[in-house]
Amino acid sequence: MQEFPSRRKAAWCARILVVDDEPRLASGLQRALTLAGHEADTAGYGRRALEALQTRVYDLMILDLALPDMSGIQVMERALQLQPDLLVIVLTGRSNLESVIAAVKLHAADYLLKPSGLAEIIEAVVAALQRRAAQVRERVALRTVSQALEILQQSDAGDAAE
Amino acid sequence: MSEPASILIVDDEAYVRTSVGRALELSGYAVQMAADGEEALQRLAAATCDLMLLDLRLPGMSGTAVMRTASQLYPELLIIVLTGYADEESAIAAVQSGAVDYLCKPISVHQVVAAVDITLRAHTDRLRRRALMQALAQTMEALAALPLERFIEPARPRNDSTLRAGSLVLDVARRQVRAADHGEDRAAELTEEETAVLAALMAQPGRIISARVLARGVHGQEMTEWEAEQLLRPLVFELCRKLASHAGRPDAMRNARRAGYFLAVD
Repeated sequence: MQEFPSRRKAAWCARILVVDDEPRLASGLQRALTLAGHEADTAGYGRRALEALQTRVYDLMILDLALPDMSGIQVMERALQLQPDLLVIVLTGRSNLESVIAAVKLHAADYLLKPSGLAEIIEAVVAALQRRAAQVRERVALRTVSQALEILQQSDAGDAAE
Repeated sequence: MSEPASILIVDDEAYVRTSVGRALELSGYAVQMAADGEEALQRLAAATCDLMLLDLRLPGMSGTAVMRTASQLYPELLIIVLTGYADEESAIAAVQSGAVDYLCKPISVHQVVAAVDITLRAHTDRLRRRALMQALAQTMEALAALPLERFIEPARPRNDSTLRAGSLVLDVARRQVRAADHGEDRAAELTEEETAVLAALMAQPGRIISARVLARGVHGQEMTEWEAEQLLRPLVFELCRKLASHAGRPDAMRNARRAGYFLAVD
């Protein structure tokens, strides 16, 4: 993992919300993400995370599923209602089949099991951002092409009318 | 939609293939079938497919391997897992392959059709994109017969200038950036897109340039600010990394809240 020596000044790449009830893990992750060039906030429980999502736009959320006040899946559902474009990486110690299936249905970007190394988590973040960028790129390219086709068809129709 | 959505059923049990297949055909879908992973990948390669219903326990190549391969080769393909042996490991593989649903047998044919309906309705944009790509392919075929050279502007002469801003030196033609007091052997190699973004920022140090303007410079296409930000993120990430490790300028590129990026002069 490459580190940025000066972390407060560098351009952040993505705005990330870390939701985990273990303060040590959350702040460690926050530091690692910041060093990797992102801007990270933390929330220790579900309602706190939803408050944060109501006040700021995030690109990505790293979500522990075992939270003290709400189930992680509930948090994910509400978070996606608030910010439909949010990418969610699940990072959990106590996983079960039901929650993984819920994560599939909610289109989580990734599902990592604790303990995951910081490098592995940062890599998953980059991969999720890259996939999103690829989708947007395709969307923009196709829109440009369809607009061009439309213009061509209109000018064809104009030629035919003359 | 003029053409029916096309669905590939991958299951080693003939009974499942035909019963689910018939129900989907009755709902108006075009159905293809495969009895194992190899056949599934062959069918995906041979014809466009919108959605794959995939059983995970297959003879030969495993279902998760089929899922990972298919999602890499065809990012637009919608995948619904249909399995009699649900387990955590395969469900995690489903998340990572971008599958959109995970159904557990026993399940009624009715419920499978309902899941397919819901998925396709939620992803009409992908189907429209497929229709557009087909129209485009046909147009390209027609265009290939025309002498296109006369419509295309001659390529701009390569920009061989060197940009300097503070301690940064960017060789635009060779796509290399380095610190002014470093030798060329320590320069970082940039991609074409990274070069374009850095050149735009270095041309006007200290000035905030919006993501949209930067992305337009890179891709030559109009887009929303949100789209531009999504496109730039991985690029900015890589660029910052290279500036930190090769040019000793970890903090050269800065964010101005949501207004855009600028180059801080040291």
